[in-house]
This record gives sequence, structure tokens and C-alpha cells, in this order.
Amino acid sequence: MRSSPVKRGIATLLAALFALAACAPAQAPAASGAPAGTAAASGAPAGTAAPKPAVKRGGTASIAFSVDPSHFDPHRGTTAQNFVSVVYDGLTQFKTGPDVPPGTHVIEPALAEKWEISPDGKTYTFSLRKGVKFHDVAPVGGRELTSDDVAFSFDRILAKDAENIKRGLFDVVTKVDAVDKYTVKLTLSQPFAPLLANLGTVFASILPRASVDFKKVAIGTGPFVLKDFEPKSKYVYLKNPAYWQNGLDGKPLPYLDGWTQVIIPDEGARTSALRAGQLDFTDLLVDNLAKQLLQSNPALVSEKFPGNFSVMARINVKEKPLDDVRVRQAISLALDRQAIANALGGGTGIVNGPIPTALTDWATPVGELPNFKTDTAKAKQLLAEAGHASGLKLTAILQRSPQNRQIILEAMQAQLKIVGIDLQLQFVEPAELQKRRVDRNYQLMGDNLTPSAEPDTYTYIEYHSKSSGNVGNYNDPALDQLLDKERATTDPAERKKVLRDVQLRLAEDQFILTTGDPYYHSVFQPYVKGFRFSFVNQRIAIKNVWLDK
Amino acid sequence: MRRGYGRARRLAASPLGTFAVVILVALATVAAAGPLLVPYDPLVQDALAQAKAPSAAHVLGTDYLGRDVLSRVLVGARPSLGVGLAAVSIAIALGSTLGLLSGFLRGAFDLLVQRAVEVALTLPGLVLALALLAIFGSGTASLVLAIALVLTPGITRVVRAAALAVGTEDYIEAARAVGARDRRIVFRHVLPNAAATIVVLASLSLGNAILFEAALSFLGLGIQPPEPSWGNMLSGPARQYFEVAPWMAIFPGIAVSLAVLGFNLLGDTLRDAFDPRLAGTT
Repeated sequence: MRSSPVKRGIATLLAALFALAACAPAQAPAASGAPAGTAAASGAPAGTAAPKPAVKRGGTASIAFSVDPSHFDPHRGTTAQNFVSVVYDGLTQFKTGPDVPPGTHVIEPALAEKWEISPDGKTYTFSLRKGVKFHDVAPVGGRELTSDDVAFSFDRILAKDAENIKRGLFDVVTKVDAVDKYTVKLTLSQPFAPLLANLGTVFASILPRASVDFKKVAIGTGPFVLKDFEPKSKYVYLKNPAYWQNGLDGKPLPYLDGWTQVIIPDEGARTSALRAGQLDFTDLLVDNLAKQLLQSNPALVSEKFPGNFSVMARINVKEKPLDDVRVRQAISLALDRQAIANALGGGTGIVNGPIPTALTDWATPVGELPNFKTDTAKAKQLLAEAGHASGLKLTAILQRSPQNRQIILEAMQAQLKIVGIDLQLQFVEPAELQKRRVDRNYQLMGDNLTPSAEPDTYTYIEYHSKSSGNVGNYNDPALDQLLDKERATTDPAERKKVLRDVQLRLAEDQFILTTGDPYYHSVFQPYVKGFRFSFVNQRIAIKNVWLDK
Repeated sequence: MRRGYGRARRLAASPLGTFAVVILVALATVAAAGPLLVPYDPLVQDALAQAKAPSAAHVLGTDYLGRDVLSRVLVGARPSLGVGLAAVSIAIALGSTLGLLSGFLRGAFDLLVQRAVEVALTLPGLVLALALLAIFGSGTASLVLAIALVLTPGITRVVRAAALAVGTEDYIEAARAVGARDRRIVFRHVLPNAAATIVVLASLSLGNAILFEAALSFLGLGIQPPEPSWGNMLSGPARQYFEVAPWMAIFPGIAVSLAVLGFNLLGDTLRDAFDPRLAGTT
């Protein structure tokens, strides 16, 4: 290193400047006040009659995402639902729009105008909306939707194809009949409460009967037509002029002439593009990152809502000593879940029970669940009773990314140490984690639950002894009975009672240590109106958006 | 040290050399007495003080779990410097022996060593370290060994060159003439005169070793959480938070930079001090 003293001096100076720069923003992100515009965008409380906003038509918008889909087929495990959700509709849909309060998930008719459910809950008869047209794209050419297309779509939805990973949402359906041109009958093997909600997901999209490769081509009845795309770069959509749903002004949706999805893998680059006005919205930003963005750009508007990803630690109950419920309860009692939830959000977070608190229709308040209130004395007592008075050693495996697993497990490490449990962390590659999950070869695993608006996804799928999603060897007959009942109870009020029993039972068992979720924000330019992100199946309700400029 | 008086004076006269020594003495103190100096327990998580900016209560701020960054940086010096020192000690011992023998004995042994070193040096150090860690498994001992083995070829090559240079000197000829055995010559004559090179090399390698530890801990293969090391403090959630709470990563980063800077400057200064061309100029 024959560098001159000058060069070395500069290097030293840079190091010093770094130190100063770090101390400078010391006053920065303590502000927790609502940034300009949030109050309006957060939505009126449920039931308030907001005056009908004056919508403006026309214009195009653009949004950035970090990855694009490997293919377009909604029935073959496509990973990016937001790319195809605007092209297709289902028989039902979740109500969206600026007047829908966040956290409420109401099913409404979509391609099916109405439906009848038989008294035994095993037959659903859907009456299709008449005059719905597919996109005017060859070879479908804008023809009308009929029950034949629905039957065709269900053949694909129920196909026993290895790629059809969402089949479990619909496999109670045993028969699909096109009774007449506008009527479809679904026969189920048992009553199934989640059906209508699952039919509203992108995984139950209705495709036209056509011999095209649906992985490469997307032709549906949805509000936008996929015009053009360049993989890993840009996806351009134009409005469907013949869309069946009307907007607030009585004319057909969507309000926009078109929109573009741009692929920008780096989060920093996405927020920069938003700041520079090159984008109209971003996708989800964690609370503290969003606050930072809003502070530096007060003109931007954000909408805040609680997450429902539920980062947690799975327990494998076949592994000693975790097979002893007292040990699991002790672990749960040692945790300070609010601290963990706050760490996830960089300041504030929400504690989750077995069903995320964001699902306000179904989640039992955490305060009513056993083993959720921190009690280190009781934890130590339970451990002693279980024969571990002198302490315990456990290992948790996790991926390095996303980092939220490391956050919760490091927090747990410190909290468990207080009761004498030594928790070791082991970082593994995603492929290995997946293998160990499938092989049930772990003690504890950092993971998250599948986000959904359907409580069945958080309960039956994870914990029922017969569910393929049960990767923790859970087998509690009393719980199984409750879960079977939950699925079969179609009356929402009744179902809520059963789900409460399910959650109380799960809190007793502590099979999965749920922690919490941060708040997320969708952030957009001030002229973007009518946008309300919905977690339900990651459909971006672009059809409700208009630009006030 | 023979002919050292002039060197020592040149060393002291160099401002950058003094600066380097100051940094390194500070680091050594921190590493030795770290746990006694910390204002907070580096492992204690304060749920009410998560991700707080530097303030009077927490001079360098807190991290995502409410742990004091200053305390963690101070305590993190130990594994970072400790692993570095251990790895370099092994690498110097191994590399010097190989280099000396290779350069002095020549012949088949030398050719073998040379080829091995060349092959090893074609691989980027981090890649080689990752491969070695995959073989050795995790843990501090593996980390030290992996870094040591990565540094050894470079050291071997330089020491060999020094040994070659010394080998042609008159006093070596003289020693041989008197009947001294090879081993005696190597350790009594060649080594002391190559010592200067080795000392400089040690200092520069320490900088490298610290960077390796930081990189490997950053990748999750070195010191495991919750124990802090500068490398693992840079990775994980601190990266995610960088835009909103940069202090979590900046201060360990500065620590690594200062340590590496210190060792590199020391190495440079020592090299200048030992430079025979400058001998006798003061």
C-alpha cells in the first residue's frame, strides 16, 4: 500500500465524517403523529354514510413490485396474484372500494349474481350474471360468459395436478354441473363454511373455455386487459370497456384508462421512484419505513392497516421435551409478545393469537386467551413440574431472510433465558428449511402463517391431524372435532362461537407460538383516490382507483 | 532489535504511525476490558427503547430489540479482534514456516509449495473461507481455522520471497562454510532477518482477518446471535432498518473500518521503518 499520506488522511477523514453523519439524524424518526392525509385515507368508521365522492375518469397509473410471476395460470400455483387478479373475476368477490372500512371482509356477488345453498349445506346453485363478456382478445374474441366456462374452470381448479397447490381450498367440491346456460351447481362432500370466501380468491378465477396456454396468456372477464408485457420489467394493462360492474357514477368500472406494473426488486429504488413521482403507489411498507418515507415527503398519502402474516415459531410436538404441553405453555408464558410485535414494526405492533387480530370478524381478543399474559413465575413452575427445574436447551431453525424471523427469535432468546431456557438459533438456507419442514425435522422453526381473510386457513389447515398443511405433528382429537365443526358451520354467528372455542383450545395447546404483526402502509401520490389495499387474497383493487388531476 | 534505534525514531516521528498506535491501543483496551466498560448489558432487551436514535441515555442509540449499541460495539470487539488475532497467529506460524523452508531449501519441496500457494491464491478469499466453513461446520474454532487457512498462502509467498533474498546474503554463505546445518541457518540467521517482513505482514493480515470475520458473521456463518460481533451487528434486521435507524449498522461499520485502518497504517509504518533503503538516513 504505497498510498500517499494524503490518501490515507482522506480515508481517516471519511471515517470521521461517517460518525458525524450518523449522529446528525438523531432527532428524526421519533414523531408518531399522523402524516398529512392519513386521517382522510384511513376510512370512516363502519356504518358512517360518507358522501359519494365525485370520481374522475381517465389517465393511467403505475405501481412497482419487487418480483413478477413465473407464469399467469391462477390454477397452477402462480406466485404473483396481483398480476392476474385484475384480469380475472370469480363467482364471488370481496367487497372493495373507498367506503369499505379496513379489516372487514364482506363477500358479495361477482360473476354469480346470486346463489342458493341447500339446507344440508352440500349443494350450491349459482345463477350467473347475464351479458358478461370476456376480453376482446383472440381466440376468445369478446364472447359471453356461460356456465360451460365455469365448468371448464372448475375442472382445472379441482385437477389433481402437482402444480395445483391451492386445491385444498376447494377439494370438498365433488361435482360441478352446468345445469343451463346461466346456472351452475356445485356438490360438496360436506358442508364447508369457507367456500364462498375461497371462491372469491384469485385461485378460483373463471377462465374461458379455450385451448390456449394459460401460463402464457391471460384472458378473462376482469376490469383490465393485459395488453403487453416484458418479463422482469413491465406489464401494461388497458381498461376493459365492457366490464360488468358499475362505479360510483353509475357507469362501468374501471375509472382509469390503463395502468402499468413495473418490476423494481430493490425496496430503496421503489421508494425513490415514488418520491420522484415516477410511480403512483408502492406496495406494502412496514410501519417504520413508511413513516420515514412520509416524513421526508409529506405530500404522499398513506393508508395504514394491521398485517395478517403472523410471524411465529412453529413447535414440533414429536420432539422431546416439546411433547409435554407444560413445557410449551411455559415457553408461551415467558414471552412478552407486545415487545416482539413492537420490534417487528420498528416501534408499534399488534399481538396475535392463533388467528391474527387483523381478522376482526373472527379473532378472539388476546386478553381472553390463556397463556398469553406474561408470567415468568408460572413458567418456571410449569418447567419444574415437567422435570426441567435446572433448565432446558432448545434449537430454532430459521432463514436469514425475511429478517422478521430473526427479530422474533432473538427476542424470544432473551425472554426465555429468564426462565432458564437456552434457545440456540440456527440459520439455514431456504431449500434446507423447506426440506426440514416437509420432513418434520426440527424443534422450533421461525416462519409465518399464510395470509388470508378466511379463518380456516389459520386453523384447520395448520392444526388438523389430517391436514397436509400440518407440519408440526399436531394431533389433538378434541381440537380436530372443533376444527371439523368450524368448517361445516355456515352460519357466521354460530361459526364465530365455534372458532372462539378453537382459539381457546389452541391457546391451551400452544402448538404454534404466534407473536404479532406490524402495521403496514400502502403509500401513494395525493391525487390517487379510491384506493384501499385488501389483504384478503392480495387482489389490488385497482378498479376502484381514480386520479384526481 | 539490531539497528533499531533509527527505526524506532522514524516510527515515533510518523504522525500516521502514532495515530495507528493510538487506535490499536484503544481497541486492545476495549477488547480486554470491554465487559467492564459497558454502560449496559449488551444482551438485555429494553422493549420500551427499541430502535431509538443516539441520545444521552444511549450514546450510540439502541437496536431493533432495545439493546444498547455502544455496549454491543464495545463487547463485539472481543470476538472480532480475538478471532483475528488467533487466525493471524496460526497463519503466520504456518505460513512463515512453509515460506522459510520453501525459500531456503528450494528444490522439490519449494516447487510443491509454490504450486499449492498459486492454486490457493486463484480463489477469492471469501469463497475459500465459505467452502472451508462448509467442511468444518460452525463455531468459533472453525471460523479461526478457516480464516487462518485463507491467509496462509499469501503469507507463505511473501515470506518465501524474503527467505530467498536473505539466502543469497554473504553471512549465510559464511555460516555454511563454518558447517552450520540447514535448520540452524534457517532459524538463527534467515528468520531474524526476515522478521521485519513477517511483522509487517502480521499487521496487514490482521486487517484482512477482521474483515473476513465481519463478512462471515454478516453472512450468518460466524459469531451467532445473540452474542454481538461487529459483523453480525451489520447484518440481518440492521440492514432492513438502515433507512430509518442507520446507527445500528453504522457504528459497528466504523469500528471495523477503524480497526482495519489501524492495522494497515501500522503495517505501512512498520514497513517504512524497516526499509533498509532508509536505514542510516536519520
